[in-house]
Amino acid sequence: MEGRPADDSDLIARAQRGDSAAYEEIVHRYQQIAFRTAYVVTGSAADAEDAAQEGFVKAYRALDRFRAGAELRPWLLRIVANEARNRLRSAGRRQRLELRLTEGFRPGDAAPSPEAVAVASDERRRLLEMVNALSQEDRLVIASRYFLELSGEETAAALGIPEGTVKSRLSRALARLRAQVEEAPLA
Amino acid sequence: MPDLEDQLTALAGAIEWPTTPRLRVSLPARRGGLGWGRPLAYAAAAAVLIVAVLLAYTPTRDAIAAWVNLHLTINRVQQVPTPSPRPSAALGERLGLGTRTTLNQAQARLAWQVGVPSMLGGPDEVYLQQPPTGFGPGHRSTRPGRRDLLPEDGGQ
Repeated sequence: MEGRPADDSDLIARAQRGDSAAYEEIVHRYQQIAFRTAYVVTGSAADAEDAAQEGFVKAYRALDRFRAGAELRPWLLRIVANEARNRLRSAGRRQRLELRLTEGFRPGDAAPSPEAVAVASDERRRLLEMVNALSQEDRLVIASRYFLELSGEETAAALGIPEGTVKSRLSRALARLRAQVEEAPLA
Repeated sequence: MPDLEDQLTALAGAIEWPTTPRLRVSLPARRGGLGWGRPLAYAAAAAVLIVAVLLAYTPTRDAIAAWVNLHLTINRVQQVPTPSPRPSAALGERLGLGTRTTLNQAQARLAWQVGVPSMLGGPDEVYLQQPPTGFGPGHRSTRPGRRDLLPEDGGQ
């Protein structure tokens, strides 16, 4: 067991028994995806940090209600995304997520898939501009599903909608994006 | 040209995300956790239950009272004593106001006129006490709503 990372259910069980080190390990493991999910929801790094932090605290308080055997990540992301939406609502602001490309990114650096290699730099920039030009609803579902690489369940949790709605919303968003691409082909 | 979904997936690695901060989550004490709070509560409840059971059993209660030097005697009785009956005599008689009578009877036995304020109506009770032989014409007490009445001449 030593040297091998503990699995989520083991960490959860230990955290439920009051082991704060186990919960800190959970925070460390999921802080990046939680922060980015909150960022997609709020469009602000500062708000995302606060929401992720508060979301982890709320999740810790709610550990007793976590169903044994359930997936931890969607549960955590739901709490963090709820917190992010609440912050956005209470601040009375409208979210405006503006995604940008990393400077000097080469497809081979991160995911050396044939598709990634195929997408040239200029095409990527133009595709992202088209995504940014979509409605807020379309942009959120595409960002959650493709850029954060969340599952259908996690996307539903992050957006606070049923999983079935994620599928239909994603389908419509892709259709609109496809129409834009066909209007001005990438390559 | 690659499929649009593949292009979006490939784009994921190129998105510039803000640097993930190191979250410092200050963990509150969990109510559901198995810290010291819950065992202490169970221990306190068990102690209260044990004390209640011991106190409910007379021999142990007496033993505990003797042990803590509480000189306490508890006598159990099957029947509580009935209160003694009230004296049968009228209140005025018990107070030594004289013999209970009526206003007319009292008036018939007195040489002076009994004055009763008309606005108060007739007295509830009338008591007559004759003085010993050789003294004055006697006095009477009335209880018109717990007030004494004076003779018509104001008691002069």
